[in-house]
Amino acid sequence: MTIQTKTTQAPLLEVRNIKKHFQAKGISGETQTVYALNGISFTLREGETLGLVGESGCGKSTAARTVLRLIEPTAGEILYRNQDLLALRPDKMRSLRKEMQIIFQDPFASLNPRKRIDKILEEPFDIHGFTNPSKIKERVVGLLDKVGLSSDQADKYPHEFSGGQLQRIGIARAIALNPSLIVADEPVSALDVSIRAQVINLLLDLKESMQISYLFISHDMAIVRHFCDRVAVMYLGKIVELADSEPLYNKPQHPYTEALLAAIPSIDPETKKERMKIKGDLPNAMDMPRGCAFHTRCPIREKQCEESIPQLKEARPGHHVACFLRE
Amino acid sequence: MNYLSKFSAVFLTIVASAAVFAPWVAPYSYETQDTLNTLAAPGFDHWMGTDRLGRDLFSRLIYGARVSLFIGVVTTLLALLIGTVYGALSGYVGGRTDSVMMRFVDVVFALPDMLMIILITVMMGRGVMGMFIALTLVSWVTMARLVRGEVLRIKEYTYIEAAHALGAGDLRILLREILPNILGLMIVTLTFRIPVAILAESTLSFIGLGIAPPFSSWGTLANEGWKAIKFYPHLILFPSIAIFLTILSFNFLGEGLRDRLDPRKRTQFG
Repeated sequence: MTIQTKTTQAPLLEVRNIKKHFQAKGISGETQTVYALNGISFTLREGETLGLVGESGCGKSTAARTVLRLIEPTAGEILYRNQDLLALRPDKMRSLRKEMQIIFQDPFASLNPRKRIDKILEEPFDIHGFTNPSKIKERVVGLLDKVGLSSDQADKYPHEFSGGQLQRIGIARAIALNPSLIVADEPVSALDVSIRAQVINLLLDLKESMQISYLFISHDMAIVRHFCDRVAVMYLGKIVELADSEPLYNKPQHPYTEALLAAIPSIDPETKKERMKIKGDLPNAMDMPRGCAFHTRCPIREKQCEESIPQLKEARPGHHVACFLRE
Repeated sequence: MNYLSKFSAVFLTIVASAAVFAPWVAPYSYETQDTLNTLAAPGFDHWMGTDRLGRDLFSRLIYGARVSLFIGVVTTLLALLIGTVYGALSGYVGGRTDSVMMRFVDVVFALPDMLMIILITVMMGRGVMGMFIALTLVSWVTMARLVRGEVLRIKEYTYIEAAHALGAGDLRILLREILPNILGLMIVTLTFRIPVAILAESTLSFIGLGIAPPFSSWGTLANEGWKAIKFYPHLILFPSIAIFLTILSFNFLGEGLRDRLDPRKRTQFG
């Protein structure tokens, strides 16, 4: 119930039309532009979990990093509690980083192999000017306890842990400074299936106990349904559909969402898949299709899809979709 | 650590302490002449024999270790320091800065080492200082390249991004996240580069551009000994053995340290 009341509050994070274009050097030396993000906008309310889904290369991870300003966007605005992050002075931005953290996909690469676990977890406090060593030690023990690890493992090195344990340590580091926002970039996709549920449950527990809002990046539609309040579907650097989880899963509007949902394996082999299937690969982000980015693979495309770009519009209350045929 | 590198560490410690405490360890001074016993073969009075002027070879070898080791260790340390700062900066900043800084390294690297060393020592005059500067100037580029490569590799790891996300500054990231990862490589490189510098010093002294007599270094001793190799082989044998064993020991030590400094390998030994 507490979460319910919180979700009605003002947005914690508001992303307005952010774009990120990378310059890439081709083999023959000419520069090409990679259109990683082509104007995405969404809001994340206090206490809410927003899923960001899409296939590999659609710009999910770029979006995750851009939101935290780990990558500078080419254009757009990022408002965190009504402050424009992109306009902040570097020192202000650094102190604001306490409130926004990230959990990475690969737990093995996200912890420094040369540092002991306690040193890794003391780092956040050290950076933000906590000076009392015994207090910090106490906090580190508390963090390990929160993520389900025992404090006598604190003097070990990362290579002595399993992937699941390492991800817990990564989560401990992210929650060290009591953040309000955590960007989780595929936090379970590198883990064994048996470990995934544990880590997801840990994230859910932390959400309740610490009032954290998540931006949850994933390509696993089943986990997103279980974990997220709302879901944004991305395709080639754009959001094509944005809605509450249940309507999105039950009544997908965009053909791409339909296709993604059709790809979820069913437990019942007798269930005939009558839903949409698509063929082919994601088009090259250096050579964007004209018109609707999805038209090259869309089974229901029409003439206008090849010429003009559909905008994200509210098809029903709270259900946004970017498709001419489903408006 | 394996026995070979442990043994090497002990050997190098002995050589180094003998060099440091030379006046107490050496039975004679490096310039004391035993004029009745010139060109003596190894024996009880003179363990390694004497040279043409009757100077005790063992004593001269110990005093020579001072010069050889000092030049070897200090030039390498200095080159490492310069190379690390330069390389780390270049790799970390990246982009155009990196290109410009590395082109300069390429230029220095392209100059033939020995030619540069000889030119500089000729310019500076014979002596420790000239050799010191010459050897440092030619060897820091190797370090810079090595460190830059490692920094380029390591800065792409997610834990660097995590540090950024926590609000860590660039200096903190370089010192706390990247440096610990290249420290092992640096120490190992140090042990592999010291012999190169010792050898370079010996070579220079051997061709007559190094330390001026009556001071001795292993290179000058070998140079003097070489002239009488046919009749008094001990004069070149002992300096050569000293150089050979020291260089070999540094190499073994380097290998041992490389394994030892990696926490992933460390725990296997408890």
